[in-house]
Amino acid sequence: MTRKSKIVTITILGAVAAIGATACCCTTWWDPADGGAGGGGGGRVGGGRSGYRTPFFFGGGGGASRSGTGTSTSHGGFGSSSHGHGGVGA
Amino acid sequence: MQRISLTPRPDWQKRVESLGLAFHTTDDGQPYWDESACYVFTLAEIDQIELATLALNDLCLQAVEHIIEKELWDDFQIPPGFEDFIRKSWDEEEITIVGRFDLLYDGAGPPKLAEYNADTPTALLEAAVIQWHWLQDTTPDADQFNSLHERLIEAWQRVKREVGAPVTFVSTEGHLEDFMTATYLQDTAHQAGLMTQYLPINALGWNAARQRFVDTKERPLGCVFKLYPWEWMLRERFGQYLPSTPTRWLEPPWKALLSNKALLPLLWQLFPEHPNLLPASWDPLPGKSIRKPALGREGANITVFENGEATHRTAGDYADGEFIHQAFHETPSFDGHKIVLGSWMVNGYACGLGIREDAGPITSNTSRFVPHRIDTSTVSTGIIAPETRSGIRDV
Repeated sequence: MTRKSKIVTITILGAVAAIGATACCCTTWWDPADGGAGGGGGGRVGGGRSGYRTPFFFGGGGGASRSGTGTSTSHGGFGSSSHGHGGVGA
Repeated sequence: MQRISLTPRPDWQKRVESLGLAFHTTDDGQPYWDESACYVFTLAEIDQIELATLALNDLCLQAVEHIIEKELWDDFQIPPGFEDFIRKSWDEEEITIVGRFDLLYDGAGPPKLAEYNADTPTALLEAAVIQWHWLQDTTPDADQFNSLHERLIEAWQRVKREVGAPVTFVSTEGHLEDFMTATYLQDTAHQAGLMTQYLPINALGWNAARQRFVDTKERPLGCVFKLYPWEWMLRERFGQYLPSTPTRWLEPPWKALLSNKALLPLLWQLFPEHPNLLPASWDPLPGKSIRKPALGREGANITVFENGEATHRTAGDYADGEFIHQAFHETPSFDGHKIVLGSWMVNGYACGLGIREDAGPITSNTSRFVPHRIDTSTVSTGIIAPETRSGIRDV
């Protein structure tokens, strides 16, 4: 009985590696319904961006609508503890 | 178990970069990914690591039950107001994706738990992807203790069934290793059929009117995988909103109890003399021992004591917190290289192994990652872990 994965393919990761990590810190959704991150049906990817799109529904099973979003959103309430530290692992 | 020297692939940097390992070399020019050697295990040794990992996971789940039942919130530095948040996630058996046990093991005697990275483990990309492709490039017929990729996809398929929301992956802005680790996890979720996105954690928004966490486009977040420690989240400005929103968090809140080294004295108290545990206490231990910050990371602020005298210490930012003491166990050494095994749990399976090497006894964020393979001419112990494991209590 083998202990290793049969196949290890990457999609988004390959695209990010090809584009460059800093270019990919964005808020775009990757939707598997579009056939993988850049085409190829889940195989290795060389930087295509066709997997991007806006999701049809927001918030998953919560059924939230976009109405009444207002401008009461604040950002930056998480992330402060990482200042002065390295990464989170070891 | 042995360490053998190898000639690295001539294009190894380019090869690993194409797979996402942009951080293969340390700032001082030394390889972090080091394929000038590999470790070779017998099947019986892999069986032993797998069974020890499953046993430790079982002990940890029993410990969580104990902590919650006895309300040991102070021991685990859970701030007031989050008790029910954590209890609820446990009672509802919220799914866990991944954790990594750091084991001391040299092929002789049982693996010993050094610590459990239950909340934000890294070195996952290296273990799951980079060493698998290294094996395929160098010895494709050989085996490896590494079904991480398959198990991760299975875990996300379960998230799709049980949570059913798109997943947002977050990590510290500007930290490449964390970003690529989060991106790898995002990739496996994508391959499981989930809609995903990445955000730096400071881009998460709180919409007060809707009482929801949102992204930068005001979309409410149904599920968030955070490569960011619970102990930080609970104490930051948005932490106060965590208990009252429907957002599902991964790792789940109950993992906050396992990512604290207060776990080590508790495990020893609950399961004294267990073969996979080392004596641990809140109080100093006689003889040779190691002192660790309860909420430390990356090998920081660790001190080795021998008869009350500090003989080795690391610097760091965690000097002000609580410390635990653990009996010193000699770090296994091969040709002068000291190693710690990272044994991975994914969705209830013990399914992968990563090895970190260092010249000293303490693993840090610059300790080299060295790949491994299994000598398939050896025989298994015949003691096989259960084939299917589902649910966090089903161990």
